[in-house]
Amino acid sequence: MAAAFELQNVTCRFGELLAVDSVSLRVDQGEKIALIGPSGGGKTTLLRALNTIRAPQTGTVSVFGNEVSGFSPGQLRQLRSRIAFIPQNLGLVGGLRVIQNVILGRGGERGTFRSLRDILVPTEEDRLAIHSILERVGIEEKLYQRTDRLSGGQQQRVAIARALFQGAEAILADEPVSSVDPARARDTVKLLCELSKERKFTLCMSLHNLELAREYFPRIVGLRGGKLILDAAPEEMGEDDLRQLYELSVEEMMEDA
Amino acid sequence: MSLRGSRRWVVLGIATVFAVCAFALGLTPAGLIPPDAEHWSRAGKFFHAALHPAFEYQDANVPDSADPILWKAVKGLLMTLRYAVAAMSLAIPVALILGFFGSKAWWPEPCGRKTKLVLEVGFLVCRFVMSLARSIHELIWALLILSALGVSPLAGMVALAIPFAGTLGKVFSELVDEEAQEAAFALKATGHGPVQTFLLGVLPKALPNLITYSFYRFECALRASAVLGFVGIETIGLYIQLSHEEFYYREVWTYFYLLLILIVIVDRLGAAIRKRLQDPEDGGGEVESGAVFADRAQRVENLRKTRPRDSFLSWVGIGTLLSIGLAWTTGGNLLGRLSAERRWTNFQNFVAELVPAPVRDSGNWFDAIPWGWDLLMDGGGVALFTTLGIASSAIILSSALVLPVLPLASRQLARANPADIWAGRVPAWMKRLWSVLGNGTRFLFVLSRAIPEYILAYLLISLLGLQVWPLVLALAIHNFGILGRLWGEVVENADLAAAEQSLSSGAGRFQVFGVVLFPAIFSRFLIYFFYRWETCVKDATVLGMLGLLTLGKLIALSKGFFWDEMFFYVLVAASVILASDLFSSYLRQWLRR
Repeated sequence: MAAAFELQNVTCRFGELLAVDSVSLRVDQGEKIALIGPSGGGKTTLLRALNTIRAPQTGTVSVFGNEVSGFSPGQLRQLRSRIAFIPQNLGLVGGLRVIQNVILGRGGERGTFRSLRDILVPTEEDRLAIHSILERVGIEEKLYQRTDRLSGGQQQRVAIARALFQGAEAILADEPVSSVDPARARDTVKLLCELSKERKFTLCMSLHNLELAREYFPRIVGLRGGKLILDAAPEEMGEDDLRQLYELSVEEMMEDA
Repeated sequence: MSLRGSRRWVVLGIATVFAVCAFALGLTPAGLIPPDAEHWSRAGKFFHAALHPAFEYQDANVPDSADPILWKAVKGLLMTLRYAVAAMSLAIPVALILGFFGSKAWWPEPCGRKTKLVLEVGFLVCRFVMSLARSIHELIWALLILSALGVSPLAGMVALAIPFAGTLGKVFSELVDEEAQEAAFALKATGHGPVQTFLLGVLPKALPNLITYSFYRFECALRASAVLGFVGIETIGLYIQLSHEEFYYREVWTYFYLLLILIVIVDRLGAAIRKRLQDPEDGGGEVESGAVFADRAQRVENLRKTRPRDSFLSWVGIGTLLSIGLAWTTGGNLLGRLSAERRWTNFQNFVAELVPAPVRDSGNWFDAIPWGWDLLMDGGGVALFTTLGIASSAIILSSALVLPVLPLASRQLARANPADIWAGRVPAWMKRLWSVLGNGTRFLFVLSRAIPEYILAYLLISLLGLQVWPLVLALAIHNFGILGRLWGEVVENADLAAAEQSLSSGAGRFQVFGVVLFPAIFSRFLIYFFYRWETCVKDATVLGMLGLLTLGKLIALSKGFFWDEMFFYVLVAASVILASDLFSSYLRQWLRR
């Protein structure tokens, strides 16, 4: 199986802070992984490094078999148009209608003028394709609604639909379900995992909810203090691993106090 | 340093500044009443006329063939609208371009050194152009441009458009920088280019606020356009001035009332637009639930047809386009009567005379230094301090007037059951009284901010004599309405949890406002206070054109005779305004932290 993402000894620094500390990680095409760990552990920075929007200080990042350090801005943009990114706040444009937000998924591939035209006057082909995607995620009735009028769960579905319309080969999701109630969070995670199987895209998702990670992901990666300290199947994970990952050390407790 | 411990010192400091200004400018209570019998009788006639606006000309010599006064007034209002609309239609596109290059939010992430240098230079140039444009008051721009090019409608429109483009551009770039980053990030992450991200992500996200703010500036442009009447442009301000000079006070009130009505309508329209943009109504047709379409295309079409649409906003859009079209095509020749050659020679003479007199003689620019120093010493310095004093005392006075009535303007506090806490059995008349008080206070704010401060100062001078009070009062009354609105919004958006807590443990409304709410939102109040202070400095500069020793008077006096001196004073005024702008934005940034 070819690798979708491959990190070798990647280190990302923000001034003094080591956000990601010599991490090596290989994610195969079509694989599903969950990123877990305490807040500030480096999950977001790692996802950004996978998306190539954060260049590491040392180490190499390869995406779909291409080592990206020598890429020009144009090449990078073309590469990114094959990866979907769902940030925590979903990154939807509130004042636009659902169909317009979903069309934005293909903007990277289509360029400025075409996507501007598409957003103003969607083509028949796009309208049908988007309707069928929305049907798959269960909100086809909302096709022409204003996005900021939808509920939190529905907005998550719009963000997923945007990623699907993009036709991305990999979806990176940064805690996409942290702002909805447990039942809706489960629904969304389940949907993304099913879709990943159905449409054969790679899925990397950071999650706060351990239970969801265990239930839906065959591989779990744990980060703490920027270091990768856990990479296992859920059934191999023991109490010790979790303690190592989450338990406050004495120094940290002192700092909090 | 936090403001927590120093609130009382800030209030004390502000009070001290007021006392010092009042002493230095000679603001005594005696100045608030007309100085002599002549002014007393004038004031009596003036306020009597307020109750009896003219429906026919007071001037018996007006020929019968002339338009009736109401029709003349409506035409004057339409001209006022025409200048404001045309100026805004010039200012907004320019402001969008300036705002775009004056913002760093859309810059490409991996950015080559050359690109970055070009962008940085463009950024600084745009910022400088915007600062310069808005540091010179629209009335002074009008003086400069009309002097250079001769009186013509187009010149008036351009004069209005320049400072408005500067202000709009600054706010546009701030809006883009501040609030549109979430969507921009998601687009960049999926390979959108910088310009594409701006057009598809940032602009749509910032658009509601851009529209709201532009509409507010349009309302300001309307006031400015009326004031342009005082430099000879044929808007309603000209009619007010002409009737006033002939002591036809009843005519003055007719024009003044109609102008206020127009501005209040625009203000209310703006509020409606803002409400619709922020909180759209779920309009649109019903989805035909009974009809089941097998075909996907039919289902999509059905959804499209029944999509929610806001017909109010569509009509506003159509109305806007229509009025822009009318503003440019009707209402007389844009270029005025002068020929193009004549204008060109005018312009050349004007530019030549801008060069300081000693430099014109000697050709040596160093000679301008003692010349400028003499001008500053000879009244310039005093004028500068008068300007700052008037602005400061006006904004402090209006703050002191707004604070006590602010609880009455709050939709949460000014009702029978404040913050939805049951207040027991309240008689019906009491409920009505609260709603009258609330609506009345809010309308008082609307009304007083609708009054153009320049016209108000002009009228007050004729009643109180040529002294500082009329200027301070005019600025204070206009800002009373604006601060009332801005501070009112702060109260409306404040976290009410603590207020509810003390209301439910028995505190009264005014008590809660003074002891719980006011301390919590004090720094936001100060932010708006300094923002308005900065605007007051700019307005105080030109109010002097009415005859008091501020920079505006020096500008008005040297106009037409000593263009070089006028230009020097314009530059002094611009740098004072720029300095107060920087000072206030520094303070506001510090307060936000």
